Amino acid sequence: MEMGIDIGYGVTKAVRSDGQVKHFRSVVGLGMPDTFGIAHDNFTVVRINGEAYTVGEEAEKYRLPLITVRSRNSIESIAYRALLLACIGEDVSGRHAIVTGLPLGYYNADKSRVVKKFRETLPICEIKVVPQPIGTFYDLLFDDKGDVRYADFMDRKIAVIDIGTYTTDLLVMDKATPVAGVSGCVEIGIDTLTKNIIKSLLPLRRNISSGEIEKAINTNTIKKEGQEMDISDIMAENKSAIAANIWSWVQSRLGTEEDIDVLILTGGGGEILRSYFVQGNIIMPNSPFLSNATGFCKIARRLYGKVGVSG
Amino acid sequence: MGKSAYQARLRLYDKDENDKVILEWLKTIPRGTQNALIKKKLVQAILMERLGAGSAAVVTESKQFSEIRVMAETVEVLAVEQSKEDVYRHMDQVLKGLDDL
Repeated sequence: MEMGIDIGYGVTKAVRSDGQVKHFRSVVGLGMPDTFGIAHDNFTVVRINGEAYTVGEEAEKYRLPLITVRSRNSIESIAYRALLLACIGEDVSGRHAIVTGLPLGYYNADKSRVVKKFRETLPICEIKVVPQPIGTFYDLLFDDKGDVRYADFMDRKIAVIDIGTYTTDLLVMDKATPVAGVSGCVEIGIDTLTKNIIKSLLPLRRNISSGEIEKAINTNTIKKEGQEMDISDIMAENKSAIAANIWSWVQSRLGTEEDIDVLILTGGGGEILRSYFVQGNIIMPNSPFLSNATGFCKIARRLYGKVGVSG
Repeated sequence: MGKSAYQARLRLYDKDENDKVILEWLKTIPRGTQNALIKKKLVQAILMERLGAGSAAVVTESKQFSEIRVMAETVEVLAVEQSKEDVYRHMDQVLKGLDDL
């Protein structure tokens, strides 16, 4: 089965060539939730060397001791393997063809470590690692049937801005060829936004969890003394500031935006901050949150499923 | 803005009259359109300069194919028309190149 897997610092996403999509928070809990004997069907539990690990939101909800993948060295951790196994499901011993990605900043240094870890976890697998934003570029370039969607990408200068949980990647493609010099990675992401919102809300409420802020990012409200309180002004101010910081960094890399024909905004953060980027030549994939993983899956179908090969 | 109004503005722009009005109008159209218009005008200006005084240059374009036509002489710019296989072949090379990094 061809598959695209995007193990992010915040969220893990998997898109399979049969159309199945999975996504869950990149947290792993030691053991299984204690539910006083009620069935465990709703939890994603994987086993590594005989030990059980609960993957995703349920690990947090049931207060299990957590292992996160919030560091570059997490590739070597048991949590990374657990997230990978959770993407695969029960067919661990099956033949898989997987494409995955790494942030641009770590791509060259960590590529071989990722390949090694995948092969250790899934002995019969084909694995290819690409820089993360290439997934979105590929996702937009080809449609689900494998036909070319934006032929003009082949003759233009495109910048992909991929806003993730902890980092933002910039990949410049000139005539569909990556330009290493201006591409790069910065540690600003949705986590920065969450922390700033928590700070701004301090005069109104203390002890707000990241989970509450995540919900508030969509609803623009937060609970205070049992009542929903409108915080749209605070949200707009913080989102605008983060978008401006990201844009300022992007401009410092690009030199001049006029040199770029199309800007692609992607990643979960791209979706959240879209309305705060006012440049006229911005486009977005249908599902920015899943676009890298979808693109990885399309690459896997091309490389291992021979999509687009004639004769 | 209708086609005739657009052309009227364009004529105004060509004659360098009333920059303020043009700048105000530019603010009302999307950034991508602004860029395309400016690039088109620049190409036109460069070609006219090359040909000398009294020449006229016309820049035509379409989504898949671009060409710059100068009076009777036609200068073709690299066409974007590529087959699906060409696009796949190029992207295969890009992906292969990543392995060699």
